[in-house]
Amino acid sequence: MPAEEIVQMKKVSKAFPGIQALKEVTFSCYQGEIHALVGENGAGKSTMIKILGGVFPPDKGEIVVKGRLCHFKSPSDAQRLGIGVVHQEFSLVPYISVAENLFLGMEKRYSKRRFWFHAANLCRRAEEVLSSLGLEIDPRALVCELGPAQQKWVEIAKALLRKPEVLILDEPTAPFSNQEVSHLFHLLRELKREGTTVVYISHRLDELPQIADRVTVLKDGEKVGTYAINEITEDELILRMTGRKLGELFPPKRKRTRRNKILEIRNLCLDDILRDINLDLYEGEILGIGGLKGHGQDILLRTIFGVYPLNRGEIRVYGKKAQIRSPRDACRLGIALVTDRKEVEGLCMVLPIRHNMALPTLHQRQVLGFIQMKKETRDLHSMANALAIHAPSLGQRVRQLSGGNKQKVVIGKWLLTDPRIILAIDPTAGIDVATKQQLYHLFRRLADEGNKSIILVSSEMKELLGLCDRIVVMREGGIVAEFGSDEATEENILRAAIGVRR
Amino acid sequence: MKLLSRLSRRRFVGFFLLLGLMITLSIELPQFYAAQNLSNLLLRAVPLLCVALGQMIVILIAGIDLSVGATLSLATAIASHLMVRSIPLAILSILAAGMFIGLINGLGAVKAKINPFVMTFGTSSVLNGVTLYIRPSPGGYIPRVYVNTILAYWGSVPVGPLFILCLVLIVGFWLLYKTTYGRHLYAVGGNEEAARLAGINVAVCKILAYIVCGLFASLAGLYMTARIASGDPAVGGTFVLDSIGAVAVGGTALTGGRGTLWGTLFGVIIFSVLSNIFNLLNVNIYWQYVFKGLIVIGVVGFSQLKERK
Repeated sequence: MPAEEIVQMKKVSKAFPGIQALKEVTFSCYQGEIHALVGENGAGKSTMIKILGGVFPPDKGEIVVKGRLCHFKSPSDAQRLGIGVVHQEFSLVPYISVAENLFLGMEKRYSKRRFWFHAANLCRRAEEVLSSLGLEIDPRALVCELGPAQQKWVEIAKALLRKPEVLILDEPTAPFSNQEVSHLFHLLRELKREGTTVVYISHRLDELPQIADRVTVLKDGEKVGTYAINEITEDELILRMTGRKLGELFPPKRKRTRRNKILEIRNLCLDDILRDINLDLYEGEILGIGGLKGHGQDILLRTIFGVYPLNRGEIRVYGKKAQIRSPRDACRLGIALVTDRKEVEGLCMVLPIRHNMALPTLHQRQVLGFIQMKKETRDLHSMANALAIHAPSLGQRVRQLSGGNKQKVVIGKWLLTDPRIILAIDPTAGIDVATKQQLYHLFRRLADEGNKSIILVSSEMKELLGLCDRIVVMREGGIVAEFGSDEATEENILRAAIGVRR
Repeated sequence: MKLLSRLSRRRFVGFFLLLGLMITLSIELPQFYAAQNLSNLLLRAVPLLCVALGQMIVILIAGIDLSVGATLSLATAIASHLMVRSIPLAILSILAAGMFIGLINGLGAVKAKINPFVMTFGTSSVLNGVTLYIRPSPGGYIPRVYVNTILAYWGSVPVGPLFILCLVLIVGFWLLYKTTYGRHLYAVGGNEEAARLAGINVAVCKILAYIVCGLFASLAGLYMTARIASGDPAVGGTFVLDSIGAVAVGGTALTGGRGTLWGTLFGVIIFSVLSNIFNLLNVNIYWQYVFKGLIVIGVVGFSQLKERK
């Protein structure tokens, strides 16, 4: 192993109002290694890479790059020293083209003229860059027209274009399909061969052995340790991340007799995206919807929830035809929607937990339009306790919560409505493994004890197989297969998803 | 100390500005605390608070209302014609007019999706035209009874305006913090999509915000009618920028979802106190505009700076 340490953080601390995000963290990586960074939500991973990327300065401690002490005042300072970051959050300009995004801030270097950049020239260069990375993305397309996976690729390409010596990736694979993940790994290995250092953050611990050389574990803002990847097992990693041994990730399933149908979907169509969907959901059942990303699974759930108007077909709830024209109608019918895009669809980030959690049930705790504050406080407290939401008070802004706690607030607000049907789209995306386990057990409890019905769309095969009583597979907007929990295997589902017949 | 840090964190820079101002005044300008001047101050603050509260509600849903001034002028113009016939009729039709203007603004901005800046600017121009048509120059007759009721004094205490001030504050407090509608306002401004998915009727919530704003503007118009005892097509002119300025100085985010009633109250008091002081110091009215603008930029800029840290 080359011994030169390219980046070092020495005793770095950082505090935000009410929270000590990093406590004297010391971290270093060698030139040409792929160094994974793991930890639960709120462990300080993102804070750490934001300090490395110059987004904000540390309160205390030193950053040493290539043996030189550095004080980054802005991300461009870090870039100049060869540190490139792909942040977890979307950081492109939505209404300009892919090419313009790629070259943003460096147009001059790629265009002969000083002030007017040459659009065609820029596009040609962008095309070269994208195809050299094996990507098929039109450089003329506006970024907002791309899907989330393609947007992530553009961000990665943008970082690589600046030829970083240290590339930091914060949860890059969240929107990716398995194929895309392996393509990314291929690229990273190539970069490594060229001597680039990669710092890689991920919640998917099973990915790490394929790609990383060493792994550093953070917990509650402190470093637990750095380990060579082949000397530590996944279970040991989890133990170090959580400080305790996790029980079974998935709760046991119970054999059940079929009960009442609660939801029937007949011949549902939406433009070209959903084709003739027929689906039944029973009381107390967790139904999984699998398939490759982008084959209409999430759109189906959003359509049931009234986000998109359906062209044809009908939805019946408890045997009665339901008119769902808006999310409002869906809420009235006792349907709830929890998605992976909690910041966009689930929460008002600037508002406190209280406002967010009480929102859909305000009308239940009001007299003549006035809120019954005491009742609200009581209800919210008991829900927050039941879900083990970690926050100093209900007045805490949700923006300051960790990803897992944010999702718990979203789930809490819907559970308060006492829904009969819960629609969940990748509810555990970007959430640490301990919280994931809590959520899985919660879903099972809701189904078994609360007799609630849950439809779960997930891109994680393990989640579908571990949690669901029944799994249907979607391909190109239609349902192509259905498996009971005893027949479902990873292979079966994948075959159906990519359309391979036995 | 804890309270202080909390206040400063909550973008209450205005609070400290006001505190400093008050202390300086008591030393430098003793006539500021004369009973006559304080009641004068109150008389000025009431209509601005009224308009600013409505403005704040619209700004909370990430909108803006540039027609408040024109609504106010129109209200005085209507009053100067109708009050002679029947005072209740005049009051009712003015309030109805304010709500109708709000409804039009709301429908345009929300249903037709016209940018609220453009929409309310448009209605403002239309209203100005209508006002000038029915009352081309200041005048008309306002019954003494009406003036004396609104501006009722008890000794040298203006109990009428004081009562209106308290009423507006209480209504504002209840509306923003105690009703489901208040919560909807913050939610829609904070994240419209999340609010929609939580089953809130976003369009109705937003249109209602414009209606409430129009209502408060016409209420301010009713008050101003008593103060100038006539109809005046130009009386509302300064209220548009003053109300937006007061709301911004009070820490309400122009992007929506954030802002407090107390912040707006502080903003209003600062604006009123400043113009009062300038008058006491005999500062030229033109310079007053200059200072007002600089103070808005300074205070908002400073709180942005704090926010970024």
